[in-house]
Amino acid sequence: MRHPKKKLGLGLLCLFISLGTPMVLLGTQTILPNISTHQVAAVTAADSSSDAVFVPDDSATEPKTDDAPALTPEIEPSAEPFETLPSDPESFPSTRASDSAPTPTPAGFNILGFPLRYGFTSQPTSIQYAKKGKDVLLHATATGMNLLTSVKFYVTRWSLNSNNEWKAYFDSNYYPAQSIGLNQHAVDVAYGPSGRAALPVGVHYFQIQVTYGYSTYYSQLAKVVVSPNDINTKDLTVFPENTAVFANISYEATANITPEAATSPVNWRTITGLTFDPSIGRRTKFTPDSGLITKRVNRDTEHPGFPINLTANAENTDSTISNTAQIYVGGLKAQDLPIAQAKKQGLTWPIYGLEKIQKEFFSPEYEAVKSATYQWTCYRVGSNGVYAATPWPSDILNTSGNFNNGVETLNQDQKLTIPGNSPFIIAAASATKAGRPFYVQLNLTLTLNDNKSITIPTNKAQLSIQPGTGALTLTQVPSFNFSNVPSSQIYQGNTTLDSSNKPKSDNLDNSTLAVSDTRTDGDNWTLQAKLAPFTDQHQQGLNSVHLNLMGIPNAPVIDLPDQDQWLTIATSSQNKTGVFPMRSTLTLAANPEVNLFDEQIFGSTITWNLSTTDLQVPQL
Amino acid sequence: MKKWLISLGIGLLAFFCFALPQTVHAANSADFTAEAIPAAGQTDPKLDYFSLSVASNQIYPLTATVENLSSTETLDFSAQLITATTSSHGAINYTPTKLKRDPSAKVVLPELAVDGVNQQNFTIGPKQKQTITFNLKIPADGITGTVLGSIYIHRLDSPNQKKSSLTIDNQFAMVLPVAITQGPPVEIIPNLTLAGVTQTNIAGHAALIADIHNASPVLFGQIQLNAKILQDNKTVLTQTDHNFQMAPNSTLGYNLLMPDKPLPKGRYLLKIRLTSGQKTFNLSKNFQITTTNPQQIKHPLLRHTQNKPTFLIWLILSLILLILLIALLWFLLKRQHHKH
Repeated sequence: MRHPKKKLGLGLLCLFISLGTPMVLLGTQTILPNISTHQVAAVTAADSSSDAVFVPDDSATEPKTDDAPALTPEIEPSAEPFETLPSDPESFPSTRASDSAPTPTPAGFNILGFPLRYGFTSQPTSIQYAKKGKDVLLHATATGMNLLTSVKFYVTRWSLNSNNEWKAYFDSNYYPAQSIGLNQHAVDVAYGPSGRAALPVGVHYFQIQVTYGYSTYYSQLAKVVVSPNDINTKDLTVFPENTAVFANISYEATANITPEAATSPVNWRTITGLTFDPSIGRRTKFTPDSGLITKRVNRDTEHPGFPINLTANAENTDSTISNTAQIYVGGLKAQDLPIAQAKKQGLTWPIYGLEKIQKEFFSPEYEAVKSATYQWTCYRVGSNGVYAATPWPSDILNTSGNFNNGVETLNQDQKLTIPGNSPFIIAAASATKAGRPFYVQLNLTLTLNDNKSITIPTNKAQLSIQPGTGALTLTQVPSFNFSNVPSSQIYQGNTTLDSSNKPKSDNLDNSTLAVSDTRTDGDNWTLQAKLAPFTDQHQQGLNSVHLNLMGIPNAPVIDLPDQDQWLTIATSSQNKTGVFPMRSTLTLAANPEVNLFDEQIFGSTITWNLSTTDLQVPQL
Repeated sequence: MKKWLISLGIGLLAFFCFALPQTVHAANSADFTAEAIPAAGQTDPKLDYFSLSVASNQIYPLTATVENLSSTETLDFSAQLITATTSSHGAINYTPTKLKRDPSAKVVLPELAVDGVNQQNFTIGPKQKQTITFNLKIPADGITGTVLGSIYIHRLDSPNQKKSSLTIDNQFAMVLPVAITQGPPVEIIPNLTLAGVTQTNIAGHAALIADIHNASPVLFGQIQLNAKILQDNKTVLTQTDHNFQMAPNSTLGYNLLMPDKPLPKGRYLLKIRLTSGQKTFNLSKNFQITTTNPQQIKHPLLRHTQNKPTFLIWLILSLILLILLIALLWFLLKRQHHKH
C-alpha cells in the first residue's frame, strides 16, 4: 500500500484548503456476477441461425490485464480477480506490450470531498450491447487532486480485427473532467451521434485512465458489443446488491438481460429519494436519501425499513420490458409481540444490512475507520403529547457503545437487549394500549482517519407490546388445614409456645401463594386477606386465633387475626413475579371453657382480595 | 343434661388426643380476573381503575369485565359498590367493612347507583367473560372533592366440607377502585377531629384507639403522625408513624400501643400532630383510663355466639337459683311456721 499511503499524506496536507461537502460517496470494488463471454457466444450462435449476421467470434479472446506492463509501473494488482480472463493464451495478449491492458487500479474512496484513496469511484458499465450507429456511452467517476494541471481522462479501445486479432487504439484526444463535487471528477465517453465516431460492428473493450499528480489510475475494462441490427430484450431481472439498505450509502444494482446480446438501451426509473449513478446501463449504483426515513416510523414487522422500487426498463424497438426489485431502506423492522412473551423472554433488536457497512468500512484493505460508535434512541410520547427522545432506563443493555472492531457485533454481543423484567416493557405495553407505541432508532457514527465523521441513521421502528391475557389473578393460595392440634393447645392456648410447636398447616405440596400479572397497564397490585372467627358445627367459637403466614420477603411473619380485618399480605413492590412459597402456623389463645368432642371441626374463612392498582394518594 | 355429660366425657377424651384425619379440597386458585373498562368521564384510559371527571345530573356507567379463568368450573360472583375507608394501619381500604356510613359525607359511592342497584350477582361459565355495569347518577348539586370507593367482586363459593380439626376456607375477591371528581381540582383542607379515645387490646396487649375523623371529601397521604400522651403535663408515652393515608370522610382508628403495661387509671391528655405536605393539624383530647385489666376492656376476647354450654350454664344457674329461691321460700315459710 505504499502508493496510496503517499497520496493519503498528500491529501491530508491539502485538507485545510478543502471544504467538506455533506455528500457521502462511497466507492466499491464489488464486481457483480456476469454472464461469461462463452455464454454470449452461445446466444449469438443460436440467434445467428435466424438472423445470420453478427458472428464476432470473441469466445475466449479478450484483452488481458498484464501483470507488469510499461504503463502501470506503480500499481499493485487488484485483490479481486479480473472478471473476464481469457482462457486461450494465444488469442490475447499479442506479443506487443502496448496491446495488453493495464491492471485496473483499486477503487477510489472519497469521504466528504476528501480523497482518502485516489482512483475510480465508479466504473464504466462493464458490458453493453448496442446497434450500430446508436449512442454508446461510458460513464466513470474518479477522485483525486491535481494541483497544477487540469484533470484529463484518456480512453484506450481494443477491437477484434478481421484477422481475429486484438488491436489497441489509444485516443490521444482526451476528455476533460467534469467536476461533480470536491475532488471528484466524472467523464462521459460517447460514440455515435452524440459523441465521437460510431463504433464498428464487433467486440470492443475500453479502459479509461486518469492522471493525478505523477500517477495514472485505470478503470476496469468495459466491453461493448456492437451488432449490425437491433436485438430485443426478452427478459429482464433486477438484482440489487442488498435488499436491506441504509440511507446515504451507495449500492450496486444490475439489470440482467436475456438475451445477453440484446441491444435495447437500459434505464433506471427515476424515483424520489433515490439517486442512480448512472441512470442508464445494465449496471448502476443507487443511493437512498435519508429523507426517505427521517419522518416516518416503520410499523412493518416483516421488512427492515420502507419499501422502495428499483425498476429497470429495457427499451425495445417496439416495447419496453421492465422489472422491479423491492428494497427496504432503513435497516430496522418493527416489533410486535404479546406482553407475556416480552416479559418471559425480553427482546432484542436485530439490524438488517450491516454486512454492507462491514464491507465498506471494516474491510481490512481500507482501514478508514478510527473509531465507531452507536447510539439507540427511544421515542415516546411526553406529557405534551409529542414524541420525543427519552433516556433509556439503566436496565436496558447496549443502548450505546462502540464497535471499533466491526459492525457485526451490533447483532451479536452488543445487540440492544431489553430484559423481560424491565419496567420498560410494561411502559411500552401501556403506550401500545394507549395507541402511542414507543419507537426506536439507531445511529451509527464512524470517525474516519481524518477525524471526520459520518453518521448512518436507521429508520425509526415501532415497538408494540400487546396485551396477552391481560389478566391479574391470584393463581394459587395455600391450603390451610391443621389436623393435629393438641387439645391442650386449645384449652390452654399456645401463645407462649415456640412456633415450631404450634400447629402447622399439613398441605406441604399446596403451599404456594402466587399472583399472575400479565396486564399491559402498570404492574402494581396489592394482595390483602382477612380471617373470620373460627366456629364449629354448633357455632361454638374459639377465642382469639391468629394465622401466622411466613414466606413473604421483607415480612418474616404476617400475623392475621381472626377479626375480619383486612391486612396487606404482599404487594408487587416486594416481588414482581408474585410467587411465594408459604408456611403457616396457628396461634391460639386459651379456651378454658370450650367444649371439645369427637369429629369436631372448627372452620374459618380467609378471604383474599387482589387489588388492581395503586391509586396515587397525594400529600396536601 | 345427659347429652351434656356425654359431650363432656368425649371432650375429656379429646383432651388427650385431638387429632382427626384431614382430606380437604378447598379452592386454591381465584380462577378469575376483573378489569376496569374505561368509559365516558375516564380521565386517563391507561389507568386500570376508574378515575372519572363528572358533570352534575349525568349518568355514568362503570363497566368492568369479569373473566372466569377456569376451564372446567362455573363460578358465581357478587359485585358491589363499596365506600373507601381508612384502615387502622393508615391505608385506604377499598374492601367492605362493618363500619357505618360516615355521617359527614354528602354522598358516598353506593348511593350514586341508579335505582339503588349497588350490588349484583352473576354466574360465569368456564373460560367465559362477563361485563358488569353499575350506572352512577351524579346529583344535581354535584360532587365536592372526591368520592372514593370501589367495585368489590367476590367469588361466591359453597362452603367446603370441613374434615380437619381446624380448617380455613379460601375465598377470593378483587377490587377495582373508583375515584370520582367534578370540575377542576379545588384545594380542600381536611376537617380533622380527634373523635374519641377508647381502650382495647391488640393480641392481648393493652392499647388505645384514637379515632381521627376526616369530615372532608378529600383523600390525602404521606401523613406523619406524632402522638403524645400527657398526664399532669408530663409525657407518659410518645408514638410516631409515617406514610399513612386517609380516605375522604373516614375515620382512622389510630392504634397506640402500650409498650410494657397498661396505663394506670386516671385522666390523660392525648395530643396528635398530623402532617401531610405543607399542612399540619394539631389535635387533642382528654380521656380517662378506668380499668387496667386488658380482659375487661373493649372487644371482649371471648366470643360465644349461641353457645350451647353457655346456655346450659345459664340453665343450671337458673335451676340453682330456682332451687335456692325455693329453698329460701321453704326456709322462710318454715321459719314463719315455727314462729307461730
